[in-house]
Order: sequence, then structure tokens, then C-alpha cells
Amino acid sequence: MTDELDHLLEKEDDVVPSSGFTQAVMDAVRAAEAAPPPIPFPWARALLSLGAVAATLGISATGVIRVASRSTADDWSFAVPAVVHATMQAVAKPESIWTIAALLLATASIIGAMRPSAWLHRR
Amino acid sequence: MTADDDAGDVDGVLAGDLAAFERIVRRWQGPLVNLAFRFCHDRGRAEDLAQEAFLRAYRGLSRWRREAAFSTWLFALATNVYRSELRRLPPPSVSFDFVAEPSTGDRDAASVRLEAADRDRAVRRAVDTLPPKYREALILFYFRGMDVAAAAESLGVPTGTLKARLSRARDLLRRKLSPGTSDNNAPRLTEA
Repeated sequence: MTDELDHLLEKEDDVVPSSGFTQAVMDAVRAAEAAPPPIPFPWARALLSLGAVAATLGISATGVIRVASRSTADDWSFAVPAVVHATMQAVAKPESIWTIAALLLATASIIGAMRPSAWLHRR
Repeated sequence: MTADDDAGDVDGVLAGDLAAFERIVRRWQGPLVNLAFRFCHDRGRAEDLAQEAFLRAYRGLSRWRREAAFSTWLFALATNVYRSELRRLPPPSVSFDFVAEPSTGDRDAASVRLEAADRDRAVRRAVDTLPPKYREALILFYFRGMDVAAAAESLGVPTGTLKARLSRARDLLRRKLSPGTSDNNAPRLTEA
């Protein structure tokens, strides 16, 4: 490597920080100090929820495997219509109207709560 | 500026003394702004980058292990900040084709000065067009007084890697500069 290239690369002009630089840095530091600490991720709750989801999936998978191992191909062909039929019968009962009404009310209240906030965000 | 001053002020900051950090800023603002300027060639942005580096240093002072010099730790941190910020928002790129060719007319004092300025600009732009890892190696090496170990530590790479990058960077520079540097005053980039 030539000395000349070394010299050229080394001799870049020096920049003097502006007079308010230190103050700006200290203001930023003070602002960072005053800001509330970031909310830590709730690992305990997340792990608990993940564990519950994993357990549910595991139990469901075990159940499906157990049912599948016991049933024959003919059972499966009637399984879906039977489920649909049972659901329709349950819905048709007069007491299920309250369950449906409660679900509709819950859905309506969720939508009602979401719409104004979405509208405010758009503004 | 001594290592003891830095260590004492770091202890002060960790004990909650904000004035100690102000002393650190005053002591290191020049080097940090200058290093940032070499990365971006924009004074305003250099100050923004240096401010971000100081802020991160303030938050991470407890992570400084005393076996390394404070300056080494600070430069490594600042280099990381500059690299990541400039990757996120790169400065406007300049094609090497725009580099002014050295003039070949009469050589009075003014033209010699102009040629020297052209030559400096050409080298600087050639450095700017290098791939980041070679550019960073060159910037840190020359900024840290051609100390390979210090530059390698600031970049977080082994000294062997830095030497290889410097060698490759010089090869690339030589190739970029050689067509327009046949003039007597142009940098002669010959093999060592």
C-alpha cells in the first residue's frame, strides 16, 4: 500500500460538533430518563396460555386418534351428517334461543365497541 | 483525557450522577461526530447519529467490561449504531462515474490546489462506492490511527478478518481509481 493512499484516506477534514450538541444529547438523555420504562412482555401469562393451548391440542389429537382407531370407514361417512343433524336439533329447541341471543348480543357489543375507535383512528 | 476520567465518570453515571455523563459527552463528542461524518458525509446527520450513539451508551453503560478501554467500547457501540442506521436509511448513493477527472492543463498554484481537492474527492467517493464491509474496515482503520487491533475490535471482527478486508478494499480502490489516476498528482496506487 502506498503511503500516499494512506495519507489521502487518513486526512479527512475534522468536523467540530455544533455548540448545542452536548445540550441536545443531555436533553435526549433526560427525556429517556423521564419516560416510563417499557412494559415487559408478560412471559408468565404467555407461557401459561401456550401450555393450555398445547394441552388442548394434545387432548383433542388424542381423542381424534382414539375415535379414528375405533371407527370403520362406514362410521366416518355418516359422522358429518349426524353432527349436522344433532346441531340443527339443538338449535331448534326453544331454550337455545337464549344462547343464540346472548351470542348475538356479545357480537353486537364487540362490533359496537370497535367501530367508534376505528373511526377515531381514521380521523 | 484519561482512562481514569472515563472510569470515574462511568461510576458516577451508574450511581445516578447525570453531570458525569455530560462530561463523557463533552470528552467524546468530537470523535463520535467525526466518525459518524466519515460514514455519512453529512454534518447534520452525523450529529443525529452521534446523539443516538450517546443515548445507547447511556442506556448500556453497565455493560462496559473494564478489561477493554472505554474508548474501544464506545467506538464499537457507535460503529454498530452508525452501521445499522445507515443500512436502514442509506445516504444518497453516488456513482463513481460522477467523480471529477483530474485536470491536465497548465499547473499554476490554484490548479494544483484544485487538483488536490479533486483527488481527495475522488478517493472519498471511491471509498463511498465500496461494499459496506470494506468501506467500514477502511473508515475504522484510518479513523483509529491505523491501529488494526482497535479497528477490528470496534467492528467486532478478528484482526485477520480486518486485514483481509483492508487488503480487498485497497484492491477495489486501486481498480476504481487507476483509470483516472494516470496524472502525476493523482494517487498512485501500487502494490505494497
